[in-house]
Amino acid sequence: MNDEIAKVKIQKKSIHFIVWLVPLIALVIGGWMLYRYYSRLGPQIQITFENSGGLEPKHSYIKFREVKVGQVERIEILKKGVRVYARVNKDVLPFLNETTKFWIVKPEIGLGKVRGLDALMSGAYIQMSAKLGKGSKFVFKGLEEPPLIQEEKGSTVHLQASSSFALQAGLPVYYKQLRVGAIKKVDLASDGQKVDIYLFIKHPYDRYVNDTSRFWNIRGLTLQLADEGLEVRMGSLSQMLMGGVGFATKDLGQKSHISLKKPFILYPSKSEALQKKLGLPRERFAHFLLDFDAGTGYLGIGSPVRFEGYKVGEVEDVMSFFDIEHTKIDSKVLIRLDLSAFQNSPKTLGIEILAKAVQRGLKAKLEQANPLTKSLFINLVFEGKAGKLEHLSDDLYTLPTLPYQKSKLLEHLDKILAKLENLPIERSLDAFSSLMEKSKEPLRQSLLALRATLDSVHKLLESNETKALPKDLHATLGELRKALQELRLAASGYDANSTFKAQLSQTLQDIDRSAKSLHKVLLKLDKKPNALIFGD
Amino acid sequence: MRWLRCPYCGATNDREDRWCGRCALEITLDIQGSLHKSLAYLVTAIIFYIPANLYPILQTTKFSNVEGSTIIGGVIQMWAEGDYPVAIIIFTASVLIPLVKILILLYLIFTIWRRRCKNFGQEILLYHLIELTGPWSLIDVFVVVLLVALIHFQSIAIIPGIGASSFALMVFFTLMASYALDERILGEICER
Repeated sequence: MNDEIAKVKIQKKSIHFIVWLVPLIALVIGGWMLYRYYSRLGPQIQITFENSGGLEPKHSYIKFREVKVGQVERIEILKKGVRVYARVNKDVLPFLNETTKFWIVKPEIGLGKVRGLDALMSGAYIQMSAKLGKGSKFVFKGLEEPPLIQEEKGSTVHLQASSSFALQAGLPVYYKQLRVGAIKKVDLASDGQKVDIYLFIKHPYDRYVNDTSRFWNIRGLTLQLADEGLEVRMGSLSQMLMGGVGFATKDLGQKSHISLKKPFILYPSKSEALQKKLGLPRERFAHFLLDFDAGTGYLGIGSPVRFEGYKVGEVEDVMSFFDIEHTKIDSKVLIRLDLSAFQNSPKTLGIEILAKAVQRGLKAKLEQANPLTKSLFINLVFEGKAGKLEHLSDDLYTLPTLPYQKSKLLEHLDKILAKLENLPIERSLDAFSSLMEKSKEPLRQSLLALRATLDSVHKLLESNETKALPKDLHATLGELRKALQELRLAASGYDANSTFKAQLSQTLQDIDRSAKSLHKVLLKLDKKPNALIFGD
Repeated sequence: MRWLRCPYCGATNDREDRWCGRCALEITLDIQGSLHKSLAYLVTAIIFYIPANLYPILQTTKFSNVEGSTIIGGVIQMWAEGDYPVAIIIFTASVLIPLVKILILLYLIFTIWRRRCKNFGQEILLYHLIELTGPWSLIDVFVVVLLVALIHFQSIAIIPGIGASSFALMVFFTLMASYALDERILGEICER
């Protein structure tokens, strides 16, 4: 009996021991879990931002290559900005170095694109971008805006324009109506005058951007009054709603080398971008200060500067003062000239060629662009003596100018029209009828002379030598008047005569025809005023 | 005291007997074994009590955003939102009662170990209190199970967290500890 009890006791002791295995196992499991938790725990990093952008502690995370790699632990308010403490995974440790950038992604919904849609669902988060590098860093300064260079393959193109054309980051970039990239950033340039636009063009397409590329602002609807009539061009609905940037490249054979330093120009429209251009394709602008003493009142800012008909620049500013001594206007006109227009190969320097041209007599001259509106433009012409191109400063030069001559053409035309109006045709016709009663031979001669004159007028109007028109017209009209005077003089000795009557009606028909031709010419002048100068 | 109650059928047996005269099951009073078992289970329960409160009991996945909430976190949130009654109930059932239970068990084990009884009535009352609350201890786990079963959309999913498993284990081991503690020992000690 005693033995049995003893045996039982031993058993019970072993049970006591086994029971204590239970808390031991629990401890082991708990310890293993703790170990796993702490072994996974990466370093804590600090990022300072101007504001937290809606980050929430324990909620917001850090994303790297679209993977959540960390979590915001707490946010501290600093005197200036906030400091975000975040715990990142161990595997991104090698990416925490000087190249690491952090920025806050917030959802953005615009017409162009929905950005950071995931942020809309999850709240703002921190985006991380980094390259593998040496050294480690745990305190960072966050970026307020996404950086321009990202991991996606492609190129960034810098454009400059005088206006943002209401473009926004996120709007698409089209090449041959194909979406090849997006606008990354639109910002005012540091000079406050221009707008910097940065495009991102995706990898295979970025090789189509080179020096011969031209960029333009896509507008949804383009109305153009062309010779053929009204042309309406419309892009796709999305283009119409939001716009974007388009580009075309003239010479695809050229090697692509996009540099951020030399910005491309963003043209307001496609037609302007693809305008024919003198010289090399890529513009290089320099500023010129021109002295004019009159006529600048009709010179608008933005008026073209032309050379042999090509637009090579435009007027940027006109500064005028009234000079009481000489009772005239003193003006300084600032123009922007595209030096590349004077280059014929990339090796030459546009400014040197321009200087040589100035030595051979190139001068700036104010000329009438449109006789009816009196607006002027600056024409670069070879006229007069050799001049000298002066270098004022950095990229400011002067060009010799010619004094403004008010175009005689318009005055002439005015006078002609006034005279035509004042011509006593009615009275003359009245006189004719009475003349017919009296006049005889002298009248016939006069009429012959008149006919000859009219023939010459006719010929003149038919001929395309319109340059000589005003003078000839003047002379012709003088003759016409003379003829009419003769007619009136001769009117006294006329008698009814049937052949003469027929001749007279013939002459009147001639006059009518001439008048119709003149009408045509005037119509043409109305439609295309510079036809007088440049021909039809 | 010459009598010993059978813990299985309640029949009164002679103290010297090893087996119950009615149901023939072992009725020996094993003070050491009971003490060890109860304490071991209690220690396990205490170990699980820590992750049960530190780890999220629920993981709500809302549009790929995983959000965990611990018991205390949930209580604080409910309190902040003005759900005072619910907050109190959850806090009592999930934090306070397990804690009180563990403390009572510790006290009872201590009493048996020291073989010193203050007030028999009080100790037995405490023991019965534990027995009474036992079935209600898993209320949290039930809530989690219900939520997991009921809320199952595509974008919103509720997954029981480590906290829930630890809590269930903690409750299980407190039940085991109170079960291992033979209340007859209390009577035995206090009688002396």
